[in-house]
Amino acid sequence: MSKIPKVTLKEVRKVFGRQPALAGVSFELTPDRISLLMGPNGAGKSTLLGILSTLSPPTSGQVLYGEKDHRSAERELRGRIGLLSHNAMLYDRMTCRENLMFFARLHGVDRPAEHVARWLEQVQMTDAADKVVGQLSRGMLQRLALARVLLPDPDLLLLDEPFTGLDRDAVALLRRALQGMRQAGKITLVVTHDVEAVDGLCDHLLVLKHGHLAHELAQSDLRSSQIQEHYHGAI
Amino acid sequence: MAPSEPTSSSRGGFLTHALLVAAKDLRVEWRSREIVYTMVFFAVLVVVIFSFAFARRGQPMHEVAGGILWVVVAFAGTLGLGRFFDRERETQQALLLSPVSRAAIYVGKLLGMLIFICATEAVVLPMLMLLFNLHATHVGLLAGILTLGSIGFSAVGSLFGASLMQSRSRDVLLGILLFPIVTPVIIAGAKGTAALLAIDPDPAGAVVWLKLLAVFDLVFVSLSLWAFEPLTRNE
Repeated sequence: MSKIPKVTLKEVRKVFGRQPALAGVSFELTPDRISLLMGPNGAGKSTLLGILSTLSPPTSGQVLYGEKDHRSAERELRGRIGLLSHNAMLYDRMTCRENLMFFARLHGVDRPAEHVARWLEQVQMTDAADKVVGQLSRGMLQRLALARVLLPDPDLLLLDEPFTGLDRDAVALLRRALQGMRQAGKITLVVTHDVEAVDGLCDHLLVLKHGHLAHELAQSDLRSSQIQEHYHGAI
Repeated sequence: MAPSEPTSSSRGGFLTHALLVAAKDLRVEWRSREIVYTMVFFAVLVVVIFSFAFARRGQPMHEVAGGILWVVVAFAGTLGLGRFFDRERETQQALLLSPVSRAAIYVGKLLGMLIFICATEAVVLPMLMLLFNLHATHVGLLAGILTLGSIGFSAVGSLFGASLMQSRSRDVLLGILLFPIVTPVIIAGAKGTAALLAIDPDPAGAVVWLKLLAVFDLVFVSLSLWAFEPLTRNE
């Protein structure tokens, strides 16, 4: 499978027991734009990210990666999807360098030591490279998690509240990373409530409410005030 | 923000990936030593208590030594399994999103757990022999029974440990699911060990139990390799 050209969701439903988390959601994620997913607590945002990451299959409906269905493409897609979640998904007892080396080797990255050194530099963590992850501050942890996600060069990037706990420099770093993904033609979906952090960054707004897509808007460089307006209008 | 793109491929075979996962687990344990220390401490305590409980006219009862050893393996192993997979709870998604075969991840976890159990046995067996005044005459056969029994326990334990990782009541469920299935391993291990540690050893009888353990290992490792992927999927 070559680069993922787009991701299409068709009437995606997810039910936990008798509780519907997603009730027929349809939209399209395309490269060259950054999509922003918003919604109140319990709207189904994390469930949706789980489905898009292929870690959790939908109860019904279809997720297409290019032309391929999530069921047939699941194995091929592994390693092509980067997921940055609430937790950093790093090993506390290993150093920053050891963590990145481990994931680089798992992803079959060529010359892993060289790439890890470059990514540590990119996220301004070179000085802390040999520090144990358990000793890092929340902001540093998030930077390292960003390096872990971007190091294998994913085609689809899913970020769940990535700005939480980040200082100004780290927010700027993450914004640059997202712009880099857009320039490289990658598909990016960000879930956040921090509209100031994504001011002028996103081109596509999705608002979820009670498992339904309540609002969708495609517009370049959405300002935080516009996001707020559309979000509050939708919920 | 994007350093020269890494060439990602599925380089490295099944065994390379499994060893990578196992080496990571050993590195983490080497730094904390909490699993092996806990397992050994618990195992030593049980052996000391049993050495007092199973004494006739002040003399230890040789015939119960095999059973004690395998009860210790079962309980200390379960104690270790809980913590072993607890460590992976936050990183599980990153591991499952890598392009590595799920079976390789399973084998890596199995190898890590096997080493922890063997380390516990290496401490407990000499102690048991000393306290129960035993003599090992067929060391190779005894090592074979211990290794095959430990593989059987680790194979089933790693499967359930991984599949229960996200469950809230995993500590309770692990014992409930694991013990009924590993009972044949514990029985075969105890009978085989007892046959070799008896005053009048029965190597032919031990070989029968060894073969049973080999069959059990073959069946359960094969089944676990197949079942690991569906059981680790978040339905």
